[in-house]
Amino acid sequence: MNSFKKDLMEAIALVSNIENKLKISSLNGNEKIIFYSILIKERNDDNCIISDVIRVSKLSRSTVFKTLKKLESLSLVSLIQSNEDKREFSIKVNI
Amino acid sequence: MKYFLQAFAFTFFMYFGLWIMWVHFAIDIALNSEYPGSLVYLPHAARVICTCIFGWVAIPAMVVADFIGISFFVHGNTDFLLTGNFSFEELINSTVANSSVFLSLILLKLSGLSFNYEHGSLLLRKSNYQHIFLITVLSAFINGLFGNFIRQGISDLDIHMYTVLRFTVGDILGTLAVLLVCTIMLSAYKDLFNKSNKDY
Repeated sequence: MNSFKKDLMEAIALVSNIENKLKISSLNGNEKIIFYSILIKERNDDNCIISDVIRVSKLSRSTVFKTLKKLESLSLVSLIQSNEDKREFSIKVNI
Repeated sequence: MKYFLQAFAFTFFMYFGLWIMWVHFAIDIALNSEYPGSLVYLPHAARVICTCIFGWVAIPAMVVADFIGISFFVHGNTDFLLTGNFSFEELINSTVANSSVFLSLILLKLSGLSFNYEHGSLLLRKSNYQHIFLITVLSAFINGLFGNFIRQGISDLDIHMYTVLRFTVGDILGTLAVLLVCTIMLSAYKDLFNKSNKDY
């Protein structure tokens, strides 16, 4: 006989599968702070660089870098290398 | 026995809840008095999900939910019923309609696709939305064609092909609508859960 709980988990896994496909799975706290920081910066100024995100979000440099990489992999933001300074990246929100 | 009761209760409440929502809010969407058949039949989602998860156990629960819903919660407009109340014809109609997903699973098993390795050469997964969508489309066609064939056989109604199409489209759209709402609700619940975990 099957387990009721195990079978019910299949239904939740199905909904979770759709959630992943539609890319509406939730971001964690830091990811949201950084994403909103970029949006706020973009609203005030055209160009947003990593130092701006660190200043607005008040998070550590390593957290911001790590999170930006994740947001980039989710195609939520793009990191564009500056022509003048190769170490600098401008950040654009893809939505 | 415990599994049967749990599965029966879960299916009953899911189907009945969606049926009540459909009767009160969705039955009038794109209404056409000449050609009956809802364009957003929400309870088909319960048929698909519960039959895929629990198998044949889900069918009696849905028939009982149909009986209780039609007998006690339909007041006024009874155009979507065959005789205006839960009659023998309605019981046959409900059994056939609620078996449509099970029939589609049998059809898939005959084609070599099954949820079990023993029954099929290709494995279907209950958690894969593409496989569930295939079952939804197949069961909607079975319910539209075979269900209306039976409806015509047991009543004096002359069912137009356009009604069959409305049944099929309604079942597919209803299932998609329910799955989409469930997905958004799960996403919101996860957000709330994460937030409450951070607060404490």
